[in-house]
Amino acid sequence: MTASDRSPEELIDRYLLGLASAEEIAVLNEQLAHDESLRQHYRRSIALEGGYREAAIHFAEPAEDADFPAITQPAITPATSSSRPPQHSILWSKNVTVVLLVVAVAMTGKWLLQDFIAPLASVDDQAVARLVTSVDAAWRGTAPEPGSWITPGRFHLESGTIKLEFSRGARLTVQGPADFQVLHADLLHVSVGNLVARIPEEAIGFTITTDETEVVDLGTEFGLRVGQGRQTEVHVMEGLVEVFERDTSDQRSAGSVRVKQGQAVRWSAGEAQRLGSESIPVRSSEAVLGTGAHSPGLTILQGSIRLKQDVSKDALKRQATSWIEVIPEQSGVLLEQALPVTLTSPGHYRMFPASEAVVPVGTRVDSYLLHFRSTQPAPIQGVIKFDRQIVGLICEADQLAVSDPVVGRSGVRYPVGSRQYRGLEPRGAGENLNSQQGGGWTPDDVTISQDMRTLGLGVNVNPLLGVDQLRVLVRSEEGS
Amino acid sequence: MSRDANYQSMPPDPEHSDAARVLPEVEFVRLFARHELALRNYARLILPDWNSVDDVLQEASITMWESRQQLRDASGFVPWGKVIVRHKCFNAIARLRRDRLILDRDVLELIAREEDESPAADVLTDIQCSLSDCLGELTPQRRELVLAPYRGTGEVKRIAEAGDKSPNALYKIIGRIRARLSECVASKLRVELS
Repeated sequence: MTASDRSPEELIDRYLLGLASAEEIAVLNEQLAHDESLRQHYRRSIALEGGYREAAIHFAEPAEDADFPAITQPAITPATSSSRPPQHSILWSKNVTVVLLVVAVAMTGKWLLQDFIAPLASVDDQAVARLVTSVDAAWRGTAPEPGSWITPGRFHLESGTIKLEFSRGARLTVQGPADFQVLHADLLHVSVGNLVARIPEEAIGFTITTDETEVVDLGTEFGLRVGQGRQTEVHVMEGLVEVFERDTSDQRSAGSVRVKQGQAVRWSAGEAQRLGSESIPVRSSEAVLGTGAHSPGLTILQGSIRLKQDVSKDALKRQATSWIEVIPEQSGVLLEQALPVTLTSPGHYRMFPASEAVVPVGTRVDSYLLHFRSTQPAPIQGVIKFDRQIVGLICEADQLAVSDPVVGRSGVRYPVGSRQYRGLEPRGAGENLNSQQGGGWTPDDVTISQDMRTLGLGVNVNPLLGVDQLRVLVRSEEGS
Repeated sequence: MSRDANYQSMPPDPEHSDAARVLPEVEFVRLFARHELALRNYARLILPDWNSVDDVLQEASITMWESRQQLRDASGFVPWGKVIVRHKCFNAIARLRRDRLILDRDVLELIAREEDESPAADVLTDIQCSLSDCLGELTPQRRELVLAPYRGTGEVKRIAEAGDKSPNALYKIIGRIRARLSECVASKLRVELS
């Protein structure tokens, strides 16, 4: 296909995607130079480009504070057709006595883009869900990679936390240990494990089965705890859930128990026992999943601090939301030369000059980068507890640069160009925090506990210039 | 950071040379945060990719910060910022042309000039909000596909390999989804205006 065979709009699209050939750009130059309306189209396309770019960042990190917010935004478009999918029959039969059927309501009249986009080839016809996030996941057998698409099959998550997004939009957070079977884009069977399900309207008909009961969710969010002893709990955080027992012929029983938002129900084999919220308070999403949802080595994350496992090459160059992000770097690094660090002992610190302190040669360390690049100037606090001893904190920009190649992640671009703003400030008593030499409006502060395991942080940056980073080196258990 | 010739060519207005009228730093930060989207969009009009935009914005924001005393009131922030961004962009373009295919400078200057004359800040936000809505209505697979080009070089190729398809075939699909999304955005904007 030659450049002249393509429409001007297509040429613009190809140029913006970096696909245009020299010939196509020559044609486009000519057209843009003489066509004002095409230039308007180009400007509008650029506006959309910004939206795509933001969405790529936004949708890439759905596991954070906002639980997949953009996906659940309601459509503004007027209703043109009903997109309500057919209800699924209960497919799970062998030795199954209980089924959880999750149905979102209030779905009529919703319009989906897929209704008017002609069917397009899917990435993988067999793929039914995507592993969106994986935090410290240890698998037995099949071990999907974060970001990968999942085809039907059985999975044994021995530990860690994962987030799955099914192709119809159902979103599940699963805490290991868990044994589950992805059966279909609308069907999951859970034998053991804790999970939180958020079912958006477009995922109506999504079904979860367990070995014990059948539940129809009439709302949007619930937690499920499936124990080894054929005991199942459902905690309803939002909406309404209807519970059915399964009889021995694997059919849903006629009777059901309705559980409202803020209530919990437990099933054991053969009976359904209602546990009013007074006797057993409904668990929050976090409580359903249980503790230990973070990386080995991080036992507490409090305040505006969160673990960030997936880091793209340029992630550290972009402004983020107002969180301190904990980015695991290399682990088990045996230091072949002493590594200069800023702090090595307990205390409360509000100045961060380069010091003579080092982590000695021969020490084996795990590294965590604490990264803060906010769009807001307000200070942010957080507390993190490591289950191993902190052997050194690197808070000074030059020391950070020295340690990047030693313990940093490969493939990540560290903001060495922002050197004067990169570490914590002030570096000395005379430093003017409000000048461009500083990184924030008030001093950063760091507290290290007496046992060298807990770290408290208060950081702030000038949103224009600032990036605050410090590197935490903890004693590694690898190879010990 | 070297001083930028462009902003030095914008001396403070003598009528507003009173130090008391200099925009407070906090106000400057607020203005930048508010208008960063417009400045980023403006840079992308000129530059061929987002990585270049990130680099130029970082550089331009430092220049703006260092020369913030030139700014006397909020209304002048965007035009002033665009001058700095444009200057940085064309400096960057000169370097990028060595190994990139980029539109002619005359064309890019014409587009930038027309953007200068356009009161498009609110429209930009509306377009991107509408796009977010439209993307949210896609199936996750299609959304992943259409966003793949923005997840780093090689992502489309990786998906293509995983699906046993050629990158060209995927780009054709991406192009069709983008065209539909563009229609979706236009439709939503029309609804909002009506």
